[in-house]
Amino acid sequence: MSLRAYRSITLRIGLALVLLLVLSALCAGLLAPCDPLRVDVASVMAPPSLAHPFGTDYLGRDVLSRVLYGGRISLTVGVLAVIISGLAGTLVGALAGFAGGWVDEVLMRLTDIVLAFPTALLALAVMAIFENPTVGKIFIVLGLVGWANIARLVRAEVLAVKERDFVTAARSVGVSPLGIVIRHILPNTLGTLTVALTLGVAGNILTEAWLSFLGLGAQPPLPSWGAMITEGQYFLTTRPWVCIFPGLAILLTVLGFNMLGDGLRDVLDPRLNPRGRR
Amino acid sequence: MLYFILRRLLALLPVLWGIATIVFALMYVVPGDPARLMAGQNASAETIELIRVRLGLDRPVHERYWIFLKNLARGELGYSYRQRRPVAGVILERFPATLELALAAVLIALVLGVGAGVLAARFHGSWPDYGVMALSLLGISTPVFWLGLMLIVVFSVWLGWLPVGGYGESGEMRYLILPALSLSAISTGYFSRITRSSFLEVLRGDFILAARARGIPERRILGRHALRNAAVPLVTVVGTNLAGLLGGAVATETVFAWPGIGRAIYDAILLRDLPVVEGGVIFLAFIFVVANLAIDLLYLWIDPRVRLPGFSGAGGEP
Amino acid sequence: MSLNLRRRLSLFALLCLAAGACSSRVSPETAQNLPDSLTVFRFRISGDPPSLDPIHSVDLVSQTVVNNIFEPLLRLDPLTGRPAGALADSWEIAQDGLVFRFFLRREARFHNGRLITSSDVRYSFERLLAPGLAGERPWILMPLAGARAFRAGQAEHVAGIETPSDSVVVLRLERPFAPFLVQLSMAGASICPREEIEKAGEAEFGQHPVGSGPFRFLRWQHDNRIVLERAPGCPGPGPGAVGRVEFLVVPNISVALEKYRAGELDLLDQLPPGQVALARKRMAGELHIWPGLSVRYLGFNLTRPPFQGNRGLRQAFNYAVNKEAITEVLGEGVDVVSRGAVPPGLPGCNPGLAGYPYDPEAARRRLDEAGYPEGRGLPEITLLYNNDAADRRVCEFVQACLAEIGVRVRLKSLEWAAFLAAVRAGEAELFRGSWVGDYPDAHNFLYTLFHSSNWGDAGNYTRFADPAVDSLLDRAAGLVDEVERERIYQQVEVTVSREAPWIFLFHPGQVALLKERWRGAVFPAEGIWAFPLSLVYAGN
Repeated sequence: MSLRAYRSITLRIGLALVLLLVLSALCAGLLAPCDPLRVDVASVMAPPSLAHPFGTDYLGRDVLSRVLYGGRISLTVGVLAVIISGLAGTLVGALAGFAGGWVDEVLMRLTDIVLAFPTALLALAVMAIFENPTVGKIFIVLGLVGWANIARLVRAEVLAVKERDFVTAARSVGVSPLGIVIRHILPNTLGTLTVALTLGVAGNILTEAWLSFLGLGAQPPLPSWGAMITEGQYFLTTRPWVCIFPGLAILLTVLGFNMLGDGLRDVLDPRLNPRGRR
Repeated sequence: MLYFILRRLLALLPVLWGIATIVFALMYVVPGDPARLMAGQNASAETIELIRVRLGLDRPVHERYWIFLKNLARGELGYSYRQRRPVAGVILERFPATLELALAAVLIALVLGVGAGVLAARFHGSWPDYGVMALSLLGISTPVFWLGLMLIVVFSVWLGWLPVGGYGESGEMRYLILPALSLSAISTGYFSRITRSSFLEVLRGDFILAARARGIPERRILGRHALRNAAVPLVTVVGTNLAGLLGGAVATETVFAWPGIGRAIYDAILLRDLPVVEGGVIFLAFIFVVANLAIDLLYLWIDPRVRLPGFSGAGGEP
Repeated sequence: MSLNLRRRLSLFALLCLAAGACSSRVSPETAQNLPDSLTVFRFRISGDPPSLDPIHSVDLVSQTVVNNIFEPLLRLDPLTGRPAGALADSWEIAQDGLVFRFFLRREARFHNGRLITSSDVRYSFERLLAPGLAGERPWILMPLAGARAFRAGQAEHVAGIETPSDSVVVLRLERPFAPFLVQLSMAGASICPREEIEKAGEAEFGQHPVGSGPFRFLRWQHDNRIVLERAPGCPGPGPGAVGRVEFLVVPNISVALEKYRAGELDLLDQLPPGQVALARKRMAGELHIWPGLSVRYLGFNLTRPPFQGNRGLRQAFNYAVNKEAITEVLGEGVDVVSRGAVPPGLPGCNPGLAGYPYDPEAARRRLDEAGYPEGRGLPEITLLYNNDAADRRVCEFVQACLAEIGVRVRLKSLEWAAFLAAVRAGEAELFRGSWVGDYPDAHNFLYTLFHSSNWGDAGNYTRFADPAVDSLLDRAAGLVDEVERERIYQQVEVTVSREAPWIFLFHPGQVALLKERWRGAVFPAEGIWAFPLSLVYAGN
């Protein structure tokens, strides 16, 4: 089998995983056997059974239903944060790359600052300062942290494209700078951007999980996967189902987005594919 | 060259000033009065006021900011509110543990990742390749703290081979293994992928084809030519990863009770020990940017074709 | 490879040392130099204490360590909770309850070998009160005559402290204050050696403490461990007595439990939520459960609608919450349902209180009478809590209970500092509240939580204000007659229960795991921080 075949398999598996997870999150209402918030004191920490295929948690809530609904939060947080960081990053990166000079200098120092800043501190500050909605806080944090890398990437792309013949040509014909950026430069960066954003979703879901672990994640009673693992850690050796299923859900989702990103890179950005060179 | 270094060092100043200002502003805006927190419940207003005076919190913000900057310019990070000793001491006491963990994690990742990457490239397109790729994908998709908990369950609880977290009396080796392993998972995944793809690229290069045509054994081709060429992209990734890990891995340090700097700063945030937060973040940022500068220089040294105004990147816990 | 790395790293550590900025990570005195006969006791603590200076130890972790290094004039008997001799082996109280005469133990010495005299008591007490040092708990000694003047800088010494001889200290109060003796047992009132503080400096003393307690300080590896050694001359329970204590910092409780199971800890100070039932089954001989000295509640903000002036609504909330389920299912039978504020067993707790048993029907009725039939017209209530696993569970459960009677509750969590700030500012209409007693006396509960002078900031977060309750509490504080005091506190409890400024939840019980080989352990109601380690010994 060739590399390309492997890549396309990656793309297919990734796409299938992501679609599956998105669908199950969207149809959580249909698929879930129980209300994810229904407390049942009579069956607390029940092991997996027919009624509760993934068991129940410390309040007797159905873990399967919570995992299904939890997908909504993890995916929403992951995707919305990427949209925020994508928009902000593209804006900053394109501006810096195109304008050059002191604008570039200032904006790049700004990204340096953000990159060198500890995520946990930002998370805490945002958690404490911003009022509701609570899921909103967490994607604001992730968006705030994530844009800097995107900005770097876009800027590098813009710098690379800026000197190419078609841009110089457009400029000589008198197309406005904004028009050049929108019509010629951005479409050329789209491939890199798509890959980066897809991988960004994966990264965001992981970050949300560890922020939850530190107690800074999404708020109950919303069933976030990160928060569920955090709860489940107390029963790791004795009642592993509470921890294992949301953990697997995270693993699968992140894996899906990582594979999708890898596959997309192959299709959209042939320069990174060794085969594509020849 | 010297001009380049000087320019980069000068560019550090506004970055550090920016970071210092943002930390100061954030800690000012975040609700929670340090004096109140220190005094605990049931404290009288008079007691709290005395503590505020001792900490200098009774002065107006702009004055506090100015003092903070003036001290910073002289390299002074102030005194911890809680521990009542210089922040520099608090930081330098924790940093060796963080450095140790980060270096060990990167070292493990380097050995495992490069080994696996070479293996995958050598058996490109067959099952070892797929195996390595699948594992590396799993590596970069696993929540680090979850992996840490799992490693503890398997190696400490079930097998009883290694201690359950902690740092030991004098930093014994066996305490380092599990946290370093769990922290290295993501880096290992990245390193193996980078190694594999740059190997494949090099292996298809004309000079390798020529070497093959001359009948040089495959082993020597891999060892001598391919590895050297693959080193270039690897250095960047290793560098950025190390720089990211030096920023402290709060969750890993918490799970493994590792006395690192990430946890110290995190605790200080929760306790509103402002000088420790400010000093710690500035110190880490400094380490981060200097490490990135070093990487760029190293890169320049390995591959002089690189354009000067370089790059840098992040790598961190998630 | 890794060995090499280690070597290089210790070189780095040395460089740090040379730079003069890094405190020693490897102490010259190591485990090998200690005699084998020393029995080591490993005690888990959840975080690194900020300072081991008694006047700055406010949090429970610091107090745990400080209590072993230092000694106050009195300690509380772990069994009865009554004052017992420590540095002072006897004392006399004058009839009016104003003058206390303490006789210091003969041959009592600091760990540096110097004899302790009455002037050390004066020095230590004035240190706690000194305004410039900003000790966090001057209130321990504020009842002393002249304390106010001293703090205001109007007097060089506290008039109420007299030292007629080297071994006698006389303390005189401004006005009678019943809990004074018990307050003197607090860690903040420990006696410290002046020369060591002056040698180390005020700031550094907390890093290298020298006291007169059962254990002497050996070293402190920050965020890792604190090591103490039995002080020479400290009487012990005989062979096998704890010779060395290591306080190990393990922040994550699940990991701490595994560390305990693996034999790397001797005492675990708490259990992860949900693990008590299992420990009952598998570690019955090591599990210790005993009543604590605290109360957990959900506080209403009495100055904000809809709870302001609506007692019926507050009572409806009380009836709606299934407290038995909280203590049995979430608290795993460790916690006790609370009817008032004072923990059961403490004089002043009113056993006759009916409280608010779980009764959804009564809750609906009260809700109806309060003007919100089936919850209609009641805005969504925000329940503020801090992000702690156990509290989150309780709040999630209460949310579900209140939903049953038609009340919509939104949970909002903040980390501790921001949470406290929000509660203090009165932002929350309903908030998670808790009070851990500083010492076993009803005054410390009822006065702190319900006296209007503590309104808002200082503990009375619900902003409860009732002139009758105020005057009763003021009167009880000055009474020498214990029976009369108890009666007054019980009366206050009746009023508080009726007015329902809280959703009364439970009194948290205390849980610890202790390896079976340790004998002589007594777990005091104040908490694990007062655990008398000097009495513990290894047996078979």
